[in-house]
Amino acid sequence: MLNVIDFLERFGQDAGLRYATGEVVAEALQQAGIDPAVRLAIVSKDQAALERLLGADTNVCCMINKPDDEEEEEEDDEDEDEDEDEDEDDEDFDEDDEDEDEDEDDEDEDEDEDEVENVNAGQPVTDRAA
Amino acid sequence: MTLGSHITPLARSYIEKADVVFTALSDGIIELWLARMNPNVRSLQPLYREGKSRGDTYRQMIDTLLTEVRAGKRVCGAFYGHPGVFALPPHKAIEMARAEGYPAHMEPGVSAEDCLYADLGFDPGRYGCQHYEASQFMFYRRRIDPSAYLILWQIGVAGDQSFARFSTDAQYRRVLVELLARDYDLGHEVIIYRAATLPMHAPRIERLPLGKLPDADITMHETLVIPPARSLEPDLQVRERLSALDAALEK
Repeated sequence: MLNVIDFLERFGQDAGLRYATGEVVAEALQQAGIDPAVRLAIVSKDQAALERLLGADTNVCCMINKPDDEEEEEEDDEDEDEDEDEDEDDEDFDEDDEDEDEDEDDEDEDEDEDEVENVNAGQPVTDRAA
Repeated sequence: MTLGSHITPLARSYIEKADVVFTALSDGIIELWLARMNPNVRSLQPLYREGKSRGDTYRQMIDTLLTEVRAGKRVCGAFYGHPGVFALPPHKAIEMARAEGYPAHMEPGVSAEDCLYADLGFDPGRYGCQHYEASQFMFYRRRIDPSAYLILWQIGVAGDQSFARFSTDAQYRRVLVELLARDYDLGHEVIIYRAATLPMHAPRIERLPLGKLPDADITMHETLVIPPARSLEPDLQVRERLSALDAALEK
């Protein structure tokens, strides 16, 4: 299976392959000795099938932006000025989060539970791709 | 960012030399690719959960990175695309690490924005280009310029005030279209764009009238591109002043 990832890397790096016809890609897959089911998934551009065959994670969220962050920071700064808060502002993010929870009436009780979640306790990606 | 195509030699070297690599990537197959570069690659994906505020998820991502930094390890955060473009945790993690006295920096990458200019064949310098996160664009009053391109990111969760959903539906996009209709005709052609993340894929480039946007099939991966709807309008007053300066220089 690790051959498949090597092949995909080559596929993405090789100017002769990246935009090649399906026939050329199929030929390269065959020459690389890739398993027929995987070859079919790649040539038919079937990502779900390829993920299944490789044991890849399919539960993927790709959003890494939250639009209101800057606004919250500004609000925090104003609050700090008004309250003459003596706290140092070196923990902006935590403060943001607390304010956000108050503002949005979020479930504060979840916070402690969430703290327990830690990816360090999870298995490395390599262990999944057996 | 496409597997195999869009990783810089320096970024790859950081991944290979790190004691631990934390990843937030677009596809599970790309996680497997990075796992080939370093034996200690750990996905940040388990921190996401639909119904949980992404603010909490991002705070936990930063805590996770900083915990290993404080333990004296060489830590690499590998975020898909460009780690500093529409990406909150990398900026915050670097800022916090530096504030605590640890050396930290960001390596640029190839973002969906970079792919977009190549795939759609336009230069942001020609007419100008405005970028907004779609929800932020809806939450706040903006003065947009219809003579320039307008690009709205994270269109698949447009209007989500909870920051906890993985998608919003046609009703939310109808609100967005009503907002855009202040400046654009409903028949104006817009583009739903998605960069290719795997080399076997082509980018998604779907052109449709703005009025049809609510009913389009849109996921968290898509971006909305709105081409200019008006010609550039010369500013005659400014040009006259510049001409006067030019004339003075010639004397």
